[in-house]
Amino acid sequence: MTNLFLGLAKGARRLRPASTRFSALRYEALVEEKVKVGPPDEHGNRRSIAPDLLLYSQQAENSLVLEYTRDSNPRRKNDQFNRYGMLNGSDLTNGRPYVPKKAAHSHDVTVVIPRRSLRSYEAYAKSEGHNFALLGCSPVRSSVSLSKAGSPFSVKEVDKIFSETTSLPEIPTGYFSFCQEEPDAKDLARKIGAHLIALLQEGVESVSIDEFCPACYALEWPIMGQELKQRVRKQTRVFLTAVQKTEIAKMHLLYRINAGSNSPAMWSIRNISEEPFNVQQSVWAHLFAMAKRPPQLELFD
Amino acid sequence: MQAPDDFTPVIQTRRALFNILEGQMRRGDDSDLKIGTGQVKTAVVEVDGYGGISQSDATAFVERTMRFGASRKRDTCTVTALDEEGFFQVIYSGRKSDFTIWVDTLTDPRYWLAFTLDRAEGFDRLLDRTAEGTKHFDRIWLWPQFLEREHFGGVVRGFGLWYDYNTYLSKLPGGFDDFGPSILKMQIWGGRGTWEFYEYLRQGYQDQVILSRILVKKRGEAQAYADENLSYAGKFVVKGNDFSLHHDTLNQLRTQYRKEISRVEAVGLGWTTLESGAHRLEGYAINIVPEGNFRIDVQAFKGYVFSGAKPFRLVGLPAEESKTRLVMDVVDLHMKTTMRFEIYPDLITIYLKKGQCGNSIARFYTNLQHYFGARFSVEADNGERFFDTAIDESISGAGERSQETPTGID
Repeated sequence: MTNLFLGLAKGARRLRPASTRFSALRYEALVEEKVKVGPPDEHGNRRSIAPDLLLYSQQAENSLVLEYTRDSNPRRKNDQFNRYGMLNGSDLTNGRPYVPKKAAHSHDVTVVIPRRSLRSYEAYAKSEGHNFALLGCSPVRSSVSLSKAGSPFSVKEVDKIFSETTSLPEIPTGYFSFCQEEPDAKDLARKIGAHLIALLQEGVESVSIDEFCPACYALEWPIMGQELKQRVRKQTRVFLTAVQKTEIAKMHLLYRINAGSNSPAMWSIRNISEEPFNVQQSVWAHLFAMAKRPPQLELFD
Repeated sequence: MQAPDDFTPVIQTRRALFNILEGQMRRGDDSDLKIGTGQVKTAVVEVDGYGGISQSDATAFVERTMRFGASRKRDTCTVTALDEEGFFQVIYSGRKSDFTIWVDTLTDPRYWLAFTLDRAEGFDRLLDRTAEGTKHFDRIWLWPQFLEREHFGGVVRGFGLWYDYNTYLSKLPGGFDDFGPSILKMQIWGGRGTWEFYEYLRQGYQDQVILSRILVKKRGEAQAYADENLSYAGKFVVKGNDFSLHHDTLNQLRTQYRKEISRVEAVGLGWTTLESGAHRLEGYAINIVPEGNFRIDVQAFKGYVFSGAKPFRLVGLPAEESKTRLVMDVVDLHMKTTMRFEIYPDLITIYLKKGQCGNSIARFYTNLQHYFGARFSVEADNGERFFDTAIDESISGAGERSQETPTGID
């Protein structure tokens, strides 16, 4: 979903004409772990929301606060939605100024849900008095079909775009190359495999897991939360450990240089760029095959 | 450190080198030349990570980079820092002979100049090996439109074409299509009328006429001139009688190339951390768009372009694959970096990350034209176009063509 909205905001060619119209409004994409909402409690603490994505536009004088959920029952999300209901423009600009004041002139909490749940969410929002814009999505492979319901968007053009856009056939994939909520082992393995090939073409005396991950997931790493980073880091270590136990190890291409120590895993990676082309190809093929069937995390826990 | 052999001139300064190179330029390809074939060759190469490096670390950096040019592991590469800052002599010692180049890293820390009087083929191989061996070194890639528009204030006196669609065609299920010639390679070296002939060819075979080199004659004061034979990989072979004209060309080329690569890099994608701690996405994806009726056969394209072989040197792991959509995590074997590609019959989208080298895009786009034809435009998602924008007229030689008078120098 994030790729879809980023693609719209960035004017992704594959999402035209919707992205042309949307990007003309000059929305900027923001990721923030927590936004404080509502009044402070007796201890002075405020509640918070963690939107999946914030889009703000000074030109449109509007912010879109996006929350995605697959839960078909809105009642289970009651507490969360109540907090979203408390959000006002100043929450986006006060304290830690997330968005420029002009862009907080109006805001729309936009809940993105499976299309089949649209009616129940619409009824729920009405009964609770939440002015949420609702977008029902049916992802089919690389495409998404959209249905809009709930409150209208504050900006007429945005409302028009989402009312008129019913199908987006090819969602861009490059802003987030794996799902942030539930990273797929294959998606991670492919990225690890690609980064490992890059390092094998270069040869590095040592690379620790803490150096490998930020470089491997270069675009995603800066905005990943600690929990997700730990999870991804673990999957990466498991994959590299599995690689290390295969033919690659027999060729002395990748080996642990601090096995048995408590310090973060560290490997030495040999340079294969001067090997005959067919040798390089066989190494790539081996890693491609492993990336297709990555080791399961639980087997190593 | 190995002493230079008897034929290698003792050079310590740029001025001394330029004097020797100018002397060699005057001799042209006479047989009495002492070093190699004697013609002056210069290459502009792209180097990352050298800017801001301390003088004391510079020699080690150059050594770390240029050693990959040695042809075999047993050959040696000796880098000597010369008297002037950022000026080096590099000698590759093999069993049969030595190969000497001089490297100027100071005048532009990112776009170095490499000079040699040794053989052109050996020079190319050496530069290619260096590019393959280390991630921070690459040749520059002059897309055909650059060669078509940028003549450095000179007059075009020759051109080379290189188009080879044949290999890709052989991978297509239907074989040969009806796009016209599948191979068009030629070289015209001549006098007046050369460029008119090029334009004539372009009118007839717009997609297949792909410039791979140009020969430009530059004139200075009095009878001063330089004949600059420039290949699309940024290598010059120069004759004439005035080295300063060639040096001007090098600076003009670097200025234009740097400008375009910087524009590409400016749209690299990345999250910027704001004062609030929130992250904002900057940059845009880059699209290479087939023009006209040309459509990419996604599977054949994958097999050809992402095989790891030259010229593209890309390998990819598919994330999604169908007849009409291919999503890949691609390794650029030149730069040792990864990029996300999406390939459709009517579009190639590349997600260049902030900090990644724009030279990758120039290389991909240039080679794409040599092997698929002039059938593409390059545009970021924000509408900014690359590689075919108008060149700064102040240094373009376009206006001089019609004013030229014959001199008999050719």
